[in-house]
Amino acid sequence: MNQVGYTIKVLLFASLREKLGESELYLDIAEGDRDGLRITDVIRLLAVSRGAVWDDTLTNSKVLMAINHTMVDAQHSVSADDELAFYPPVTGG
Amino acid sequence: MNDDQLLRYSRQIMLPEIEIDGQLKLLQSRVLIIGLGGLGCPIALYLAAAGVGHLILADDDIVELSNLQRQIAHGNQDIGKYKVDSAKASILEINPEIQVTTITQRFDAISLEQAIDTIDLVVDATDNFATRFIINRVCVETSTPVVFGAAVKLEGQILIYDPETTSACYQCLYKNAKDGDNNCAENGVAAPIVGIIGCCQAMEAVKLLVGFGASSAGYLQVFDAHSMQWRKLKLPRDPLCPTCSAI
Repeated sequence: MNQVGYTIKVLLFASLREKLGESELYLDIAEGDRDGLRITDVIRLLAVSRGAVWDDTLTNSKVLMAINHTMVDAQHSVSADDELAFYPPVTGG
Repeated sequence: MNDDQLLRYSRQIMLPEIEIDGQLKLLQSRVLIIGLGGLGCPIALYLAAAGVGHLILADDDIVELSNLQRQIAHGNQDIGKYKVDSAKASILEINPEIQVTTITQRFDAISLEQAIDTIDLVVDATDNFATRFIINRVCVETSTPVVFGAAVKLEGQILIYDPETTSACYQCLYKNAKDGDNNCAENGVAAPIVGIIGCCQAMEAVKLLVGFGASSAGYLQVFDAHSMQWRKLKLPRDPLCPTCSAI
């Protein structure tokens, strides 16, 4: 776990965690990627470091996203020390 | 309330949040439960036991063997019957004093608007985006509170629309999502998860009807049975929402 520098905490909830195999990780953002960073950029960086399945799974209009416990959309900006959480859509009943 | 009612509801009346006045509010309430599947069964049973005076049950589906693993208002003897008839019989076993009306049609916006005319609160226990968007639109337009719930696999969600607040609506959350392969038939569902989410929906309904407790409107509540963890996430109203932005 490396929290030095420009780091984002990423959480994966429920079936997203099961699919991607991680529940919590810290992502260091390189200096050149920090300006204007959005959630879509974070997903791209996750796919680069962990595999295309991350992009395939998280780039889905039904996946829910929250920054610091507030729901946002994929174009929302991300800052250092933010907690970015992904939640699966649920429709069953 | 008569003596039997005072005894039946005594453990609830002794709560300072409810007392006699709150129990009377419940007895005078009319609640529409849409869907009598995994979520709708515990919702209906608990609201009936709690003394909601008039429950309107809506579902066009028939009880099947594969439902019985989690839809606890139905039994073996109910296979082939309408779910609303089976649920009504179970409800009246628990509390014969309340009124139960059954509807065996699938709502469209027009029929839902007619059904909702004298309803105090709607509990969504359906299993698809399309129906929830109809419920959402009609309830926003008619200023009717809704407790939405959903569950699949080992996870669930609850969202409340309360017209008394400036809370977001269901469409603020899911925009224009289309139904895909997110249902229980495709993905499976653990029996107790619908009980957990359904019971929480019933609790939120009682709070709204009586008028106590911290409002959960404006939040998405998410539950993961793997970690037994709830998360409560702030859901701002979408200023571009086609349903609630003009309200």
